[in-house]
Amino acid sequence: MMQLKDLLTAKKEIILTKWIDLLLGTYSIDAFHIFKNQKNRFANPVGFNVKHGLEEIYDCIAAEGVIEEIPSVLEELIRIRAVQEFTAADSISFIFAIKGLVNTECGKEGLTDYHNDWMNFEQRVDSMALTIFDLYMSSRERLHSIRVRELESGRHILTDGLKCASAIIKQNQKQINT
Amino acid sequence: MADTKVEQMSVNVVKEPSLMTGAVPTKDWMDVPAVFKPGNYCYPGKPSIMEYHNNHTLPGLFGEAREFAYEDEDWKLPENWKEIIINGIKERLDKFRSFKVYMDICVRCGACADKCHFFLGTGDPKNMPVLRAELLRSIYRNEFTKAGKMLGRLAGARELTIDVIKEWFMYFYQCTECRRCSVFCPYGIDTAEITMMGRELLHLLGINTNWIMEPAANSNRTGNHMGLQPHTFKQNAEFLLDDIEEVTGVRINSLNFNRKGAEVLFIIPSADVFAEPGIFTFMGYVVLFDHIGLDYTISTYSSEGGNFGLFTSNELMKKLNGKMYAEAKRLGVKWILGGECGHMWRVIHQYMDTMNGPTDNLEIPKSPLTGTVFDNAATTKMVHISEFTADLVHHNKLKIDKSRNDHRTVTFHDSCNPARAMGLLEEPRTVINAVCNNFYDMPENTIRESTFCCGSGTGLNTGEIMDIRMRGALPRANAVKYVKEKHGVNTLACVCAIDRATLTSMNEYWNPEVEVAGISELVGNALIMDGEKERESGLRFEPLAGTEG
Repeated sequence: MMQLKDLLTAKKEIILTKWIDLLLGTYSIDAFHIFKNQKNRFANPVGFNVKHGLEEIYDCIAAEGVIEEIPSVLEELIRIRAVQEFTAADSISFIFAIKGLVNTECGKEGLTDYHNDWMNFEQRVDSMALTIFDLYMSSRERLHSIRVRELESGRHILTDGLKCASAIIKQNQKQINT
Repeated sequence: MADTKVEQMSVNVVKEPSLMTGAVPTKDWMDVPAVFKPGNYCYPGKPSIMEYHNNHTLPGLFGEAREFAYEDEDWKLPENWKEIIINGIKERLDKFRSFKVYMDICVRCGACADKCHFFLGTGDPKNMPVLRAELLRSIYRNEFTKAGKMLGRLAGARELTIDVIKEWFMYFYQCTECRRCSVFCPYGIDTAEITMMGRELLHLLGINTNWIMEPAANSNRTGNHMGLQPHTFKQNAEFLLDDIEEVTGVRINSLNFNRKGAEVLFIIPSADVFAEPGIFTFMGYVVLFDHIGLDYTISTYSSEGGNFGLFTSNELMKKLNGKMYAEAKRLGVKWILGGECGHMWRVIHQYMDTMNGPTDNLEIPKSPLTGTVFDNAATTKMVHISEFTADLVHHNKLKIDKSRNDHRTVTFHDSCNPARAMGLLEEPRTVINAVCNNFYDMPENTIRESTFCCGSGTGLNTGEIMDIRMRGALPRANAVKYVKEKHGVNTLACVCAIDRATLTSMNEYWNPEVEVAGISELVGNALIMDGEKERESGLRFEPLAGTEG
């Protein structure tokens, strides 16, 4: 009987295809077809990043040893999900879906005999989930800091500021009145 | 596997098509209402602003000024709202031949479906240009075609309801009128004009956004989006001369305002005198004009190139645009030079001559330096700064030290309107290549006529819809990321003021290492000025290559 890690490698294509379909299935049916079939990465940034992002995550999970570096495509994928119309949970729940997919595809052959393998797999998915949670939060925080920066550098600096002579006059009048 | 939740989820994965509980529509699009929640819509015009428009700008176009919120069930529409819309459509079908044609000729081939940056960023089918247009066509069919009246939904028709109006607002304000989809339409349908009609109709009911209506009111009153009064506008511009002096060692004395008898009237997007990074672009203009000794002036009356009327109604667009010719006439200039503005050029190139031309007092633009006659601007009398600069480059009229931009590895974002509405494709690249050693274009299907929008045009550049903006900007950012990783690009050049502001935010989210710069800033960096000191920094005080640390 094969070890789980070997199974994960052997069944990569079928599991990954299902995982990609599952994630793309969170978009509308029209978008699903376009995101799945348009091969040009510039004409289809969501599809490209989903495919490559999930593959990178899969390879990380299927590999052994410590996950040292966050794959850049994964980061991009989470940045995309973080600004789309999903709840926070729906944005990142795809990571937990891999457990079910792997269970279905590899379960019969590896479930009972390699308990430690499964524990290790679960741990790697969970650790990736935490990484994704961090990425999601940093994306949202980045978004809000951009909004604050836009406000800070925005119109009120000029219209309410001291550079505008009419504002100075208004302010002087206020001071005189009080 | 002791966690029951995880087990349950695994079961779901096997049995269900999706884990997600998000709002993925499974119904026909006509049966999916628009849902307004914080972050997915722009705020309505303030009553005081709308009262100003109704009393002073153009009475009768903007519905009743009132306090309401888009998240409320009741938008406080007038009782006869339906009649207003139907009459509004009829009036426009009679008035605009293009609108009538676009309502009839679409065969729903789907060529446009995957071309919109908002669709590519959201996956929302109503952001497919064909479906966005169907939002309006379905009502047109129901009210104005026999097939629609008889067959209803079978013929793609539907009844006009309040939900339709809400849906229009949601999706006609998720279109930036960038016209990328039009490039791919075999019939040449200009979907931007459908959005324009949709917005005009909504305005009749007082449905609008403050981010557009307030700058439009300011433009009408004081001449520019921020409502800067003449002295403030002048003061801000002059303040930048101090910065130029600090960087170059040269005090520029040629900047002037409202000077009668100048040869050229120079009109810029007003953001260039107060907002980063536009101010650096402005510094570049001023350095260039001083360098070549151009006889020009800037108006504090026609102090805005941008025209938020384009995003509102054709009448307001015409009124705001009229200032350009009026001021050119008052000052007695020969022709008009326009700065790095985006939608200004759509208005000028495609509408100005029809709306406010032909002028009787201006001449066909001719460069005083090279003698080049700009025949392409024979009717509008207005030349783009990149055309003008490219011509100077072509005739070797500029003293240039390209190495002063060696700290920048540049790519160019073809701003939608200059690219698609006036065909300005080569000139910016000519200029960039003349003043920079390191230039790399983004992939072919993301530039020139196929350029992707910044995602924040047509008055969508407001903070309350930051999520939507970032989604819309994804295709553009995705291409920028590619050249950043492949060539080390650190500067995204463009020729649009909205771009300069919004691409900066876009990059802060998607590509934090990439700065945004107007092309004229790069020109200003490279020009060798008479009497200058040894340059250590660029116009934004950034260290030049070889002078860091």
